[in-house]
Amino acid sequence: MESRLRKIVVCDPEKCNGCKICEYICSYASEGVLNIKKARIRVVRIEPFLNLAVTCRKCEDPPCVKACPRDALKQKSNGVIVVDENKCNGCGWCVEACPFGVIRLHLDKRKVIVCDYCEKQGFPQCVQYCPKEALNYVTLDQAARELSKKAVQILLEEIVVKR
Amino acid sequence: MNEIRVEFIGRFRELFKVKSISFPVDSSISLLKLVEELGKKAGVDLVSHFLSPRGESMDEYSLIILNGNPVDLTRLDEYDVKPGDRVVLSPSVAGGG
Amino acid sequence: MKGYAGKYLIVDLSKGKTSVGRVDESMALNYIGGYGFGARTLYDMLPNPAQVDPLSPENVLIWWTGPLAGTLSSAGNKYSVFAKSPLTGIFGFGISSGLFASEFKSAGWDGIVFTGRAEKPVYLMVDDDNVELRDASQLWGRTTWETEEMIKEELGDESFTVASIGPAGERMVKLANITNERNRQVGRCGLGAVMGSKNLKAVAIRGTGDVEVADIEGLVRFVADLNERCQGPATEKYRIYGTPANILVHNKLGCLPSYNFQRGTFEYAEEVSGEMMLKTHVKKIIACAGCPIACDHVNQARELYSGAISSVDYESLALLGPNCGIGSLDVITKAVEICDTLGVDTISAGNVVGWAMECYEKGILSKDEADGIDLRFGNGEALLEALRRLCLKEGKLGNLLAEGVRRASQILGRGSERFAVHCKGLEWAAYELRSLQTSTLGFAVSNRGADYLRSGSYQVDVKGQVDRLRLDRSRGKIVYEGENLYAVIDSLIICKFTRGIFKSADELARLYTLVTGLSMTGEQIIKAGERIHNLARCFNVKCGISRKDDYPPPRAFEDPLPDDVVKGAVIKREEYEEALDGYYECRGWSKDGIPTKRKLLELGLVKEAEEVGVEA
Repeated sequence: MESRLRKIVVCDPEKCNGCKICEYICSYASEGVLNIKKARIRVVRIEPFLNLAVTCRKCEDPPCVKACPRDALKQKSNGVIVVDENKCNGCGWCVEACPFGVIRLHLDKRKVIVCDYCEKQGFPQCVQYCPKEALNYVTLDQAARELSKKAVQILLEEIVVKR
Repeated sequence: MNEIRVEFIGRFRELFKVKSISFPVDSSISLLKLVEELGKKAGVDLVSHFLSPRGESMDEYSLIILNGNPVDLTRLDEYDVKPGDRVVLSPSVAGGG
Repeated sequence: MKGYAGKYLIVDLSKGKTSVGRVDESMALNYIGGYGFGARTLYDMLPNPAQVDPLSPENVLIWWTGPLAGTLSSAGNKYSVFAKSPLTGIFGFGISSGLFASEFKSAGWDGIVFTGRAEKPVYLMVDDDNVELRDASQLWGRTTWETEEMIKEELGDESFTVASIGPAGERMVKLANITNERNRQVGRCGLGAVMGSKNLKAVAIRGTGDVEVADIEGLVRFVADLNERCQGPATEKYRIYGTPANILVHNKLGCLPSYNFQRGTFEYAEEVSGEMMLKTHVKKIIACAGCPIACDHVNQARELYSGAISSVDYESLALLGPNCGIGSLDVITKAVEICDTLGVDTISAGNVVGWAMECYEKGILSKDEADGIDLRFGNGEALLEALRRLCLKEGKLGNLLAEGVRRASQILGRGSERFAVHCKGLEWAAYELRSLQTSTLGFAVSNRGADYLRSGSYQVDVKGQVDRLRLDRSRGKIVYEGENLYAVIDSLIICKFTRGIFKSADELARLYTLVTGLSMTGEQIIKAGERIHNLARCFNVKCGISRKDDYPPPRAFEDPLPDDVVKGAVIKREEYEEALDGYYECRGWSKDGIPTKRKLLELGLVKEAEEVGVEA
């Protein structure tokens, strides 16, 4: 798949309220359990006002893959990072290399886990279940376009529409 | 006085863009008719804020206060609003319980 | 059974030792969790509650979640705390929400029972199975917000959640509360003072376990449906303006407590309305863990006290605002910040300061007794200074207010008891006494004291379903049914803001079964609610409660409202007596408000029937 068709999960900071429903659903979708510590997507709340969910962004030339001393990480053509558990020894170098902190050691297995974009389900479940539609599954081009549209609408509404 | 005073709270202020209006009338009008007419003014289906499509009360969502007292939303056609009366369109009470 | 952890922690603070207790299926089916478990354990652990000094080591402090915590159930992450209340001398309890309850369950616990008193300040760290009482001497004196940060730093992990008391709890201020995650409180009944009396500064929890449910697929599907319903009209009021939307509605109805409940309307209602607050002060609306609604409106003060940040809801707004004659959102935002950080309940605080203002204006409280503060209604600086003193028990004023309005008015005397607005010693919340009469009945018979959270009976008054300015025998049934349903809600524990989206008790029962695997019908779950309510009443009967205590304060009967919209509204004594009789009849209690043996046996409360029940 051409990398420009890659879709990632983006979170709107105006809509995200830190409810963590995405974390509960993620642990269910990934491992069939309810345990937010096993979620791949993570909600960051910085008091008093900041809330945002973050997960793997399918980087071009991903730092995690480059960092791994045992070649345990590979990126598929659709951008998803795959972990070879036979090779991973939990050294955590990739954890430090990721600028977003979204690849992590599994609570029990002590090998790394990262969002696989719900390959089993075919659609990111966090996006499906977010009650405020704060999460979206889009290409970065689409995300940029939406942001421009929103900005222009706010800026011009007063001048053009309300004239 | 040949008018009904209608006041708005919450989302009804956003709909009508003002805190209150005077609604001119010659004689009594049913509360239901008043709501329908106000809806036409604002270009919205105002009745749907108070009654579901099946005619059930939407009292968890909205409330109407007639001369200081909340009305039973399922009987809007039975309340008579006279010139000089005061009607408030409001969201419902949102307590902790 | 699933959902429940199946065990609870027992912490003997005197000996510094911990042990484990079991939660079995019988407990689960009969008492559900939360409020039910609290009533059961408080009743059992304090067999002679009348003898117990609430601030002594003999009192117990009990924490319970319910089966829904940690399970993704819509708005189901809540925990509850119980003790004999130092404010009221009766059944004390409160509920708070947030991530804390979810972590509690994930750590593998349904509850914690604290007994005795620690020799020196401690906090309890619960890290899954690893439980430790740790030294809190560095934390003592710190605000609730500072305490949370410091504990996370000390333990080296931000994923700990912390519930703590502030300096007010440490000083055993009778209005002291417990705070978790900054904005969430176990507010009422002075439970923070009980913690302080035990030298217990905080509880910090980290859980890493899976929370098991019986039918995970069925649960996820049902929750998806419920969460969808939560975006609809029944919850709009919470999501947009939040509970502060009530200010203007109540003002129009003449039921907004103003100037210590002297009036039901406030001339500056627009300035402190939910509409104004959303426009000028709300910086962000946040949610508790697992909640699809999101009602928590966090304000930032703009001109005065700039930088003050606090989560402001209707009760805090009304009682620190109109009830004290205050028409400034900046002042109110700052007032809430003071209460939340120093650790005092905003409802009780707003009520008692309003009372003190009326005393001062009437010349009953002298300037010297007010520590030189010009304690008139509408004086924002005076409000903030009075709150600080109350929280820190400073000066003559602080020490007086820290007792709560009932005791403060008894101490001050000079006729001030007549306008102390409370029931059973718990300060009345922001629902008018005379222009919402079914509400008042509900407040006056509630198990905690003046409280609508146990019945929600104000709803029929504001929805035009009854004549809100009169009372009659039929109102008892409304309160009775509300109480039974809410006892279920407070035991599962699920947020009351979902009540408009559940179609029936059968749906609540269905949620219970999906989580626990235990069979439950709507009828059975409501019966459990009735059992729980009666059990808490039995505890109160042992504390000396009876009909004589189930009345609103004198203001309700003696001071007709002056506001045009509800002119002359007052409670007529004969009507009230009739309504109260009707309530006891529904309850199956004696004319004196004591559960009958027959009713208690019907509910399976055999021991209670023997100890407390009266003949029909």
